[in-house]
Amino acid sequence: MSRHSPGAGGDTPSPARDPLLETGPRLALCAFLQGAEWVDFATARDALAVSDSAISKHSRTLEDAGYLEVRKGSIGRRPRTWFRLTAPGRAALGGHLAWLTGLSRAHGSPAVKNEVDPVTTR
Amino acid sequence: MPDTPELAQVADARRSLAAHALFPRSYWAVYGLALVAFAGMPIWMSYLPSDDWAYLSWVIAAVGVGSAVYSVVRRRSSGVYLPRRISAYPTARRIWLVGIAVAVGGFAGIHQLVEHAHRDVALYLLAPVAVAVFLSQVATRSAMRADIEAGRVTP
Repeated sequence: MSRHSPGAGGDTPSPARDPLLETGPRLALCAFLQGAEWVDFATARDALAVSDSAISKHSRTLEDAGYLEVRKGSIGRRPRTWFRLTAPGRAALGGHLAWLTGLSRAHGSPAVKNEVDPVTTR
Repeated sequence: MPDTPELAQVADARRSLAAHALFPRSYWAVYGLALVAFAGMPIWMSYLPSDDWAYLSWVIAAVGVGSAVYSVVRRRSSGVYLPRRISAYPTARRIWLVGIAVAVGGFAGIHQLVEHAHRDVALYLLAPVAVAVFLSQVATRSAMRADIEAGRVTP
């Protein structure tokens, strides 16, 4: 994948540290949601190997910040909760990942391309 | 591997999500059979008396409904709703377009051969067309997984 210089416009986010994403599993949760339309609460919890309360607490923080959209419903009689990353959430994640990648490069150890690519933020 | 714990976390999370883009082997087995059945439709129809064609639309409708039900059940059971639009996956979209071109061209070629009484040649053409379409679909799914792992998806 081609990379553009930061801040050059297009799909490349400007590097920007976001302290909100530095606590607990918030960064991993946002990264998990980045490629999906909606993800079930239990699936996110299992994928990130964290407790119900941790997902609940951090998702609420992200929702309050406008990074996450939460939808409640049910399948049959079982109540379900789904998460989706919002456009501001994608932008914040992209910026934070660009900042982390830049930091990693500045320390002389570039992150492997395709392992973490902050390009997609739309 | 990324050298910082944060980037490693992100890579792991994306890899975990990307696993949901792949289909089980049983899906590909059924898909392969359905592909040969549909791609060879002009050939099979040439063996049937014209009265039996009325059932064909029911068969196509049943496969369509079955495919839609499988998709819904799979999304519900996995808890992951990946984007359905192929345009959401930039790399996979190119491979998918090639696969569609091969499928349409192959089907049209087989149809023309049967129309011009070259049914034996059409039967020989069916195998490479089916294999090419099958491989393009498998490659499309692999590219979708790679797009998710690389964070290139735009839901």
